Amino acid sequence: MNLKTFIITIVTIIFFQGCVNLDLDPPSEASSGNWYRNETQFEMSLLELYRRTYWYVGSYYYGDDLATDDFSSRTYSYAQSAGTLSGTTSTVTDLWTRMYTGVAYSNEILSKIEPASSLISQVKLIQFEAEARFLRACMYSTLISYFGDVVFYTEPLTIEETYTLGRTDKATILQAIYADFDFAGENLPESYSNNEYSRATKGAALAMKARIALYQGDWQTARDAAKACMNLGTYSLHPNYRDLFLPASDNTDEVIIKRILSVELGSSWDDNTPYFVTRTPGGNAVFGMSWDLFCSYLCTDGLPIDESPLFDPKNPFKNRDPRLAMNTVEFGTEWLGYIYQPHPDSLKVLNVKTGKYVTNNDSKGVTQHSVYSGLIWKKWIDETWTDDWKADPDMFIMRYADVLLMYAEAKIELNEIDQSVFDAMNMVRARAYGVDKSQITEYPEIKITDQNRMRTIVRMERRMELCFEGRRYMDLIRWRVAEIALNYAKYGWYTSTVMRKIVDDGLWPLPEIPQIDENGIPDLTPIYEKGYYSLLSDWKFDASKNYLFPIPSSEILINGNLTQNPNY
Amino acid sequence: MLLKVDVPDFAGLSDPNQNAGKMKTIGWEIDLKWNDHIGDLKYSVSANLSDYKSKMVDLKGTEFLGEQVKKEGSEFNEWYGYKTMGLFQTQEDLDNSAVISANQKVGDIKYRDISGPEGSPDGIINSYDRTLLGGSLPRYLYGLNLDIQYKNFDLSVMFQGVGKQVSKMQGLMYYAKPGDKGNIPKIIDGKYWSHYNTEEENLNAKYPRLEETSGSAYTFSDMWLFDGAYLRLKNITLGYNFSDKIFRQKYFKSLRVYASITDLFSIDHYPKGWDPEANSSTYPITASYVFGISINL
Repeated sequence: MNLKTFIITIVTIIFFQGCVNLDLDPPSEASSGNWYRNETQFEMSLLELYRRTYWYVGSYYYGDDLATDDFSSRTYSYAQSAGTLSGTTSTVTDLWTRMYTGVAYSNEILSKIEPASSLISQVKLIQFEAEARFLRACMYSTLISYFGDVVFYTEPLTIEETYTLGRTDKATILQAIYADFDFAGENLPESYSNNEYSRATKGAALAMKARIALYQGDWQTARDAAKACMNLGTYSLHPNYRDLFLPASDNTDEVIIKRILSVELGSSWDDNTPYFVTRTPGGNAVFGMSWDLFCSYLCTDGLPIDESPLFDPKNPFKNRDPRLAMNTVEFGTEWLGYIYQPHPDSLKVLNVKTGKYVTNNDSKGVTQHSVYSGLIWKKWIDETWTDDWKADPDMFIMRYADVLLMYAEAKIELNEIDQSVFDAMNMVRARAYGVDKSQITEYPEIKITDQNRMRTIVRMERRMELCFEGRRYMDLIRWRVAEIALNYAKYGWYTSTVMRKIVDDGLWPLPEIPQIDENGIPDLTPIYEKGYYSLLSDWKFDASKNYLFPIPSSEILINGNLTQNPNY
Repeated sequence: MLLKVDVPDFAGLSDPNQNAGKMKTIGWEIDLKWNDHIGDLKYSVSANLSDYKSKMVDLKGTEFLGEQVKKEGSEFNEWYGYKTMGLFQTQEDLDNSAVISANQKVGDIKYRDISGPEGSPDGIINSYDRTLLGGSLPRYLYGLNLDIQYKNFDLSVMFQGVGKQVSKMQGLMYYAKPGDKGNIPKIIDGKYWSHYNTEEENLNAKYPRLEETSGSAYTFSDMWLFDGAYLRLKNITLGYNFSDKIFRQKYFKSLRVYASITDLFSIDHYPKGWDPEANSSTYPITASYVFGISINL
């Protein structure tokens, strides 16, 4: 062997040696190959799944509500209520992609539990597994609620599999969701010592299980899961309904799981805080409460406005369920430092702090762009919004009042109307009045055994209690009343002309008492037809298809085994 | 060609890259120039014209479907959307036609039902009915230069343009009521279907009734494509060289005064205020007028 051959041989050996031992996982950064080695890494991965992206529908917090009859949003319309849902609608494709990103992420974490068994204690690993399964169950719950049968998988997929996997019957998926929530419920702690994050707990697993069971009409499971959550004794109603939604109540025992917002730590409400705020203090008042929701609040005698002798359309805030004036600003009261008065003749309003009168930018007499319903949201909002236009009330995913109402609804549907149903509903209602449920002279107690009437009452109670918390759209869908509620049109005041007519006819502010149907939905069309409202946007809900979202078109084009939902 | 492999979104993965795609581009160009003089008049004319077309050949089964597509057999970034058949003029027509949403009304766009999941028209307008609508890339790019020198005068003119292009109207050009201001873009003013029109006016209407929903009218279709060809006077310069020898030798080597105009006008089908080479987010192309003296010491 001469020197040249020797060198070539050595170089070759070194070269191939290097190839054999090539480490594909970069040691300087995290990658799936070298991650999941200790508790911190698992925790960091799990916390990723609490990001906002996995917990909302549409483009805003509680974006779903915008597409419902609870919201007023100028003349904008949304695919869900405009009848324009299609497989390319961004609300549809975004939701699909975000939820499946969460599913894939959870599956990835779950697949790393077993390999880590020699590195991390068994107790911790089971807790991580429980948390990942809780999160995956939440994602699949959203998917089957919106899309019906969907693609279902519980382990990381190969690329080849993604081209062939079809849809799984949602009843099968529902059982898997239950299994995940059950496992989570058994293995998660009831609370965490550290309040920095709001994470999956035993109570959250039970409550989220109740929600998906209720959404799917599985009343027994909904009842039992809600009851189990109530029996934990961990949660109670916050004494003051209005305060519950403000940052001061961040540590309340009512909220079961939430997204914690903090301006300091860079996570806050949308950049569009001014959209929700009246114009005199500097907001844009793009969004408001709808007259539909306004009219569906009961009177203090527990009757709807078309039945109660206490209702006066000239003083429509008087004798109403207190949650009305806690969720929208009563005309002529102080709001964010000014008197709020949308009356078209109110051209100046009082600045409460300086005692001086200023231009009333919340009157159509001054600007067209004051809120188009005249009703501005109060829920979630307070002075902390206007100081720097950043806000951080925690965003609720599940709270105890919802659990109580779910329990009552499931029992009513099962026709098991007993004292426990009255107790659950009266607790929620009495809290709104700031009293205990035993003080029956202070609030309209619920004590009716007729199933149909109780169904109406629980539906109206949910609407009054849970508006602007992202629950309305799914409620309309699962009650099959979207075809009623979303087939009216959105009415309001486009310019001051229609308001002028109301004032001139001496009918300010509610020209006529609308009929309220058994689902608590008022019909404002007669008022519009008399010329007291403008048509802001057309609604159209096609009952033959819109109860489900379409599957994104691009998915079907790539994967021939995926079918579309009916009539899309 | 490096391709992003289209993996279904339910996989929760971002699309990986793959070295797979094949694209075939065929093109040609011509460049002609002529220099001559007629007495003292020296002139030079040059012209160029080029064209190419890129067809997607093999994309390993992947497709990129948006308003512009790359799929087998399509051009590179070809327009992809619905074909329209005018507007619904009667309720009867609407009732008996495939609609894109239940909210479609008389005065809305009538889309062509091309296909369905079974490969044949299915009475519903949905993504199966989208089709290729022509290339988005410019074709027949050309330029023309003219230089003339007569005694001390010099003149140069330069034209440039695109012979054929299918362009998309941007939303701002035609959206009714942008930002709730109640305004109507000029491009559709008087040309849209309306309850306030006479029947004859509606029959001649090119554009659908005004609406502000996100779906029916503003879904991408050939309604919003138009001829984007243009001719632009890129530059025109007129100069004069002072040739007085005594004057020149005394102070400097040469002196030329000139006037030059850049981007004076373009001939195109864009609405007034829009430019074929700029969009609403780029800095606009501005006409500039320059007067100059060039001195060589």
